[in-house]
Amino acid sequence: MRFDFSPYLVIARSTFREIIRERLLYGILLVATLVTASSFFMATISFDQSSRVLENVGLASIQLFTVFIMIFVTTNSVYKDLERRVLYLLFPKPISRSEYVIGKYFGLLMVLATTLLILGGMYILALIGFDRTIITPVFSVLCYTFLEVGLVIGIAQLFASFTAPLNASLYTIGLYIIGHALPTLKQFAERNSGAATQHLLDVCYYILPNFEKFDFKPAALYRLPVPGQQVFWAIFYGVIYICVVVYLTILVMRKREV
Amino acid sequence: MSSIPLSVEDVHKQFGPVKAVRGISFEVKSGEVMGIIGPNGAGKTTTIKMILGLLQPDKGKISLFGSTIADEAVRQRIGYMPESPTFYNHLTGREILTFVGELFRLDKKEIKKRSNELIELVGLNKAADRPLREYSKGMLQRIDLAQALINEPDLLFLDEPMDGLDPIGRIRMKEIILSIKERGASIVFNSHILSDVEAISDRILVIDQGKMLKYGTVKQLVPANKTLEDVFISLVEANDAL
Repeated sequence: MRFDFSPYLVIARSTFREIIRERLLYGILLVATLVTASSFFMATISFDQSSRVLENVGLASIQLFTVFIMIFVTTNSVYKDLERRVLYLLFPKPISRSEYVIGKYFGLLMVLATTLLILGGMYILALIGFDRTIITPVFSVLCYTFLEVGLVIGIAQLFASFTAPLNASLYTIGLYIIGHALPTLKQFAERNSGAATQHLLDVCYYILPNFEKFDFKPAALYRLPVPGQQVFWAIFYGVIYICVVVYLTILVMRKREV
Repeated sequence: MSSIPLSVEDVHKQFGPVKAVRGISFEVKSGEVMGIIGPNGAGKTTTIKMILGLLQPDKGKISLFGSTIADEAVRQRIGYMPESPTFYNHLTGREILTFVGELFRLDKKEIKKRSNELIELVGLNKAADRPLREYSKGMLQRIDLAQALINEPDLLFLDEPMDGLDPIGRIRMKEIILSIKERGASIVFNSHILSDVEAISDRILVIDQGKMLKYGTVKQLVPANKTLEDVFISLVEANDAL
């Protein structure tokens, strides 16, 4: 039997079109662009390490804005479908709830790709006139950002499927912050805590998403080589975690009455 | 698949302490129009939502063409026009029809042909390429009907189809419903406008407080010297007095 991609594509395309036509998104993108552009100003007034300042501030603002834009966009888009009863239109049609969830996720990934293309693209274009040597590391960091925010979108979609958008956003942001702090917390617990706390943190370390696995920024900034194996495991970890989170969202949506 | 498009047997639904639907049973035959009437909160929309799988019944059996709503082949034959529709507001009327046509896996040529016919049918030629957020309530109601018809359904559900329409719109809606019936499709609809229900229904189901008060053909329900409105009021008042 041939696998039919069309329902996923139909949902993904309409999700993408609906979000991309929101005027609010352009406002946020404009602010994000201005903040990123300010890194060029900071670089010109810095003492000697202008390229490093440019990379650090520019990439950090792109990453942070992309995370926040996508959390906002995801939770609001799912909320609109659920609360404004768009699902009345969808679910009596010949598509399954899993096709809806996966299609929606792909649509959100398309929005993420567009956001990164706009923010990262403008940044890279500006770099051409400033310091061409940092373009390659910046590009690789943007690729890891795509994977990292892809996981953030999955988590936001899961939370938004059973709670209000504000709660879903806060839970996702909380998990994102914890996910970045996990290795540090684990190290701290190993040195200073008792066996019970260490055990608890071990469990959290392996269950919660470890966003530090996607953070190749320091390596890129200091031109350190990243072993291929490490990149492979980061991608593998990200993809597996995304699959689990999307599957959980499907389970929630299957149980949900609309 | 069975030739009976819809069979509902002793269906119940409770929301917390509220018994929204209490043992409703009915059947819809091919080419039949069935009107569901009842006061606000009677359980009309809940019944339709259970049939369509949007809500799960606590008890009872719902059969569509001899199968269930979980069957994709069944959903391929169904059209649904929800009450107070909400769409992707940034899409245009034509884009929504294309989107729905694609969900039914119709080919591009067919979608284009059907969209043009339906836009013409519901009288939205001038507004078809405008985003839905600019539509009035009546226009949304019309595009809602158009999307429900894109797959030429064998069984069509219309939730308050006359709601928000002006008198001309209502007449047009009745004509459209009758033309769908002529094609051989079955239609289930609910409405508060009893004269419309009486005019176009073959069978009528009267429900109140989730209970089935009466079910039968218009002739069986409405004596010659009375209107459906008279019958409806006396049935609801008698039920309230219980």
